[in-house]
This record gives sequence, structure tokens and C-alpha cells, in this order.
Amino acid sequence: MVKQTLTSWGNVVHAEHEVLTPQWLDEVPKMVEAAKKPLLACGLRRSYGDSPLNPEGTLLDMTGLDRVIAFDTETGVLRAEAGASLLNLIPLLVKKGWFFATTPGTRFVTLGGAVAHDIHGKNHHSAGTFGAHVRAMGLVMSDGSALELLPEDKLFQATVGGMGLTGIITWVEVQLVKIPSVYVLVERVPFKNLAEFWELAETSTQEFCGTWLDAMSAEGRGIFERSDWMADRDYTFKEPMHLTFPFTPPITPLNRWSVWLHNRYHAWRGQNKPRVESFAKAFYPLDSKRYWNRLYGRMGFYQYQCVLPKSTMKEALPELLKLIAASGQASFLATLKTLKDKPSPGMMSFPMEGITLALDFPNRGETTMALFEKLDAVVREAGGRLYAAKDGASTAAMFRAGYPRLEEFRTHVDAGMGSQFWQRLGLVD
Amino acid sequence: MKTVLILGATSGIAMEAARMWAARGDALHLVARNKVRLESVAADLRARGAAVWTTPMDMATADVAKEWPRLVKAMGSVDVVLVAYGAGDFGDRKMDLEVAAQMLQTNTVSATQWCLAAAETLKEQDGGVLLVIGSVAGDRGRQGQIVYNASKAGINVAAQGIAHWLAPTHARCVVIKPGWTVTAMTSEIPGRRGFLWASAARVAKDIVKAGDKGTGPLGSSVVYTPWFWRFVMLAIVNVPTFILHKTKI
Repeated sequence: MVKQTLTSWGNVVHAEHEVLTPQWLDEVPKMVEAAKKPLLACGLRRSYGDSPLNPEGTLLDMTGLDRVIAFDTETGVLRAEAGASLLNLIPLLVKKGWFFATTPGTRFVTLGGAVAHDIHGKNHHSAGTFGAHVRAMGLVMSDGSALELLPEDKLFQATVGGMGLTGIITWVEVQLVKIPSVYVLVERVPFKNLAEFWELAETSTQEFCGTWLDAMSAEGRGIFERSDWMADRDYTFKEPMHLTFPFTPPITPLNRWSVWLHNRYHAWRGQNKPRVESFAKAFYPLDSKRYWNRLYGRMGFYQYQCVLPKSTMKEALPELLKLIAASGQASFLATLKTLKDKPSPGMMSFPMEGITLALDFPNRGETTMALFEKLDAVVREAGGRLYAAKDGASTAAMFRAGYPRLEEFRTHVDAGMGSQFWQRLGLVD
Repeated sequence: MKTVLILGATSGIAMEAARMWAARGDALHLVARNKVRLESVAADLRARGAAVWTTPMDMATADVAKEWPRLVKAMGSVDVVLVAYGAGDFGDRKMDLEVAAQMLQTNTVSATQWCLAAAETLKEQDGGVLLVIGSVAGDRGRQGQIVYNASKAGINVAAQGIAHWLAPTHARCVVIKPGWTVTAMTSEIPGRRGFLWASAARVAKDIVKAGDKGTGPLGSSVVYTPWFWRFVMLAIVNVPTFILHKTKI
């Protein structure tokens, strides 16, 4: 057990933690039983808010549990320890022509994290969430008992999207999908306003669709990116080059002018013809700029991600964009994704049929909170909700309103587990 | 395609090296004390496409004269032997006599026996590389880890001697001296970050390279990993005693 000051991706909360680093599956039950409660498991801590933090108790850093347990290259069933990252697993999979059914915007997530936040990707409209492809998982409860969960178990359904509060996920078994190539054909189509965006969203047939939005404009300018796998059976995969931001600058270089420049560059870039790219470049563009979060400086940043239901999205989205543009709080990264009706087994799963908007905001304290309150009001009014993997500022009331199964979920929360997120929301029993 | 024997396959550094060899399609023979953990390492490597055999064994107490021929028979020939098992004691029992005897048995006595046995086989084959994980700790005796330093000094020198003994042949021996490495052995040390702490993968990379080359930099038989420890230790070894004795390192 070591004391470490840890933070999440947003760099806002820095808290001293008591950290345990199990290296073997067989160590976990005894470690868990003896540890000071409440407990929480964490992976690569790419969540932006405080969901992977637990300064009140003990944190289990699961990244030492990263082994493949079994990989059936005929059926595409992969079982691995929960600390295994997509970054290290994907090269093994593509070598045999397999891939995860869905992945988030970065490969720096662990299997346990992918389940705990029931992550979704650019192909949600066809593949649904990560949890929908999980066949089984191992869970260790805070009293040390080890369980095997199957999709029909209520505890499985509470654990998918359960933010780690039901126990320590120790291994995960997923069904993979066959891919026809490691290359994708990417098309980037600029749009000048939301009407053009809706048109593109409704008519695009590609499997992977994502949008970069210029959050400084209220009318909704951006670039619609859509891609499909190539069919050339080319599985030669090379890791793209990356650079690492080595330190956190004391003052962030990001402000409304640098962001404006960045947005102009993106708009210019959008004028390209369709191009063939390796999936690593197309799906995970930010992975090649490692620790890009440091650019936000010592104050850190918040990410605001909400989903608006289909019935109200066309009215609510412009309202949100107007509020954001008017606030003058530059957002470096703003994305839009359409989500379809793809039920997840998770009780607390974030996606719903509609549109999800995600933006980064430099942490400016009160002004940021004030903006979020206004945004929350619009989201709530529209019947939408926030994403726990990103949230660092919201309230229990907001989560109650957005997640109708919250009370049902709470009955499955292990009393010995906890997180700063859960405590901040005041949902600890 | 190489045949690699790893003594101590559940050690952090060895596991990373094994993954690198597996990625190249080498055949792996793994030996470790804990059967369950050995199997989980083997399963991971098999999933990465390697052919893997396992032999659970406590290398610190085994009868090397009997066990080594058995291993060789099972493998046929061997291209790389990695001696990676060992005990570290960074606790406060450093003056305990019992702990001292055990550590010397594990890190020096038994390890030297395995190295001698392996060296004979490599000489007979007139080929292959013996890689021995020593440590920078063995370069100078200091009060921080008296017995650990001594045990590593022993194996460092034994392996260096073997390298000399194998020089007329085509077989080779390389002593690997890691500095501070992030593994289970150092897990209780706080603040394992920054320039001085290497990941197990970083050290493993140098090990795999030494296995390919058969020597360290400029033909030497000692590899400091990462490289800068050669110069750190040069300083520590040559610091006058009266200055060293004022420190607690």
C-alpha cells in the first residue's frame, strides 16, 4: 500500500490516495477483505470527473492485472483480466482479424473501465454500448467473495455502467467482431449550421460517424466525419507516431484566441477528399498527442457531456449552443454524436436515442459552475441526462432526473465500495 | 525463431520480456514457483501466439544437478536462458540472520548453480546466450540493503566470470543490471515516478536486445538498464568512503 496523490483526466481534483496494486487475480480477494473501506477499483483514470477517485478509502489500481486469459481466434471470444487496456489488446486482436464491437475515443481505457462506464463509440447506432457485448465477468465484493456474473443477473446489469460501485471487476469476457481490414475510408464533410448537420446525420450510412463542432459559433458550424472499414483484408498494423506533452504549464495556452485559431484550422482541414487511414489514426486521433489534458494547465478542465432525447433534441441543442457561445468560455473540443435506440444491459447506461454533445471547459471556478447550471437546466427540461464518466460538477437531483433506474441501482451498490463521485452527489447510504 | 528458457517467469521484468519474445513468435519455456500464476502467464503468452511450456519449480531450493538436465531434455536445444528469479528485501528485517541466509541462497547460491549448469550446456552447444539479472545494487556495499547488495554482487561477478569463460566459444553471457524498476519487488516504495524509475518493459527491452546481440554496449558483458545507471554507479562506486558514510543510501 502506497500513498499517492492522484487525479483524473480533468486535472481538477488532486487528492491523496491509499493505493493498492494487485499483480495477480488470486491476490485480490484477500487484499480487498483487509483493505480500509470504502474501496474503489480504477484503471487508467481517463474519466474526466471524480468517478475514478476515492480519497476517503482505498483505491485498487488494477493496471497490473492485464493478462489475456483466453482468446478464441475462431469464435472471437476474448477473456482478459480487467486491467488489460484496449491499447495493448487491440494489436493482438487485429492480427487475427478481430476487433472490439465498439470502442471509445481513446485506447487508454481498461476492460473494467469500459464496463464500469458502459462506454460507447462512433458506431453506437449499429453496435450499441460496450456492455452489450460482454458475455460474462468476474466481480469481487468488498467482503472478499468472488462471483461470476452473467448478463441475466441483476448484479451484472448493475455493474455495467455501475461506475465501480458494485464491486471490483476482475475479469471480463467479450464477444469480438470480425473486421475486413485495419484501414478505414474516412470522409470529412463540413457543415455551416445545424440544419446541414441534421441532414448529414440522417443520411449518412457509414458505420462510424462523429462530429467536430465549432463551439464558439452559435449556429453550429463543424465537420462531420464518417468512415467505414475498407474491404482489402489488409491487417498489417503499425502504431502511429505520438508525441507526449511532458508537463503541465502553469498558465494554460488555451484561450478564446488560440481556440479560435484551432477552429479555423479544423474548418480548413475539413475540405479534404475521402482518404484511407489506419483505424488507429481515424478512431483515436487524440491518442497521438499523449497527455493532451496537460494543455489546460494547473487549473484543469471539466468536460460536459449530455444526451438529449430524439423528441426534444432539435429544440434543445440550439439552446445549449447559444448558451455556450454566449458564455465566452472557449471549448477546445466539442463533439456531437447521434445515438440510436440500442438497449444496453446496464441500469445506469448513459446513451439514449437522441444526440450527445460533449465539450471541454477550462476550469474557471464559479463562472464554469454557473454555465453548467444553465446547461443542466436545459438538459433536464429536455428530458436528457449527463454522463458520469465525464461529470465533475453536477448534482444528485440532476442524476435522479436523468436516470430513472437510479434507485434500483442503489440496491446493488456494495456498502463497502465508494467513490468521490458518489460522495459528492450525496448518494452514499 | 528462438527457444527461450525463463527461470522466474512470474517476475515483473521476465513477464514483459516474455511478451516481447512471444510477439516475435519465439518458443518459451517458463519456470516459476507458483503453479497458478505460472499458468496465467502462460495463458497470456499463448493468446499472443507463442508456443509455451511450463515447469513449476522452486528454483531457490531445487537440486540443480538433477533438474537442469531434465529441462534441457524437454527443450532439446536452447537459444536464450534468462535467470530472472530472486528475492528483494526492502524492509526492516535487513539485519535478520535467517532472512540473510535465505536471500543469499536464493539470489546467489542457487542462481550461481543454475548459471553454471546453463553455461556448460551453452558451451556444449557452442551457441546461445545466458542472460542473468543482477542489479546495480551489487556494485558497492551500502547500509541500505546490506544483504541484498551482497547477494547481487555475488551473482553479478559469477555471471561476469561465466561471460569470460564462454568468450572462446560462440556462446555468450550477459549480466543485466537494472536500476530502480517499477515491479512487485519495489511496490512498497512510495513515489516511483520520474526519470530514475524505469518500467519493467523498458528493462525488458534491453534484455531482449542483449539476448539478440549476446553482448552489452561495445562488446561488454554488462548491461546497465537504463544506460545512465552505468554513470550513476560509477559515481557511487568512486565516492570517497568518508562522504558515503555521511549518507544513508
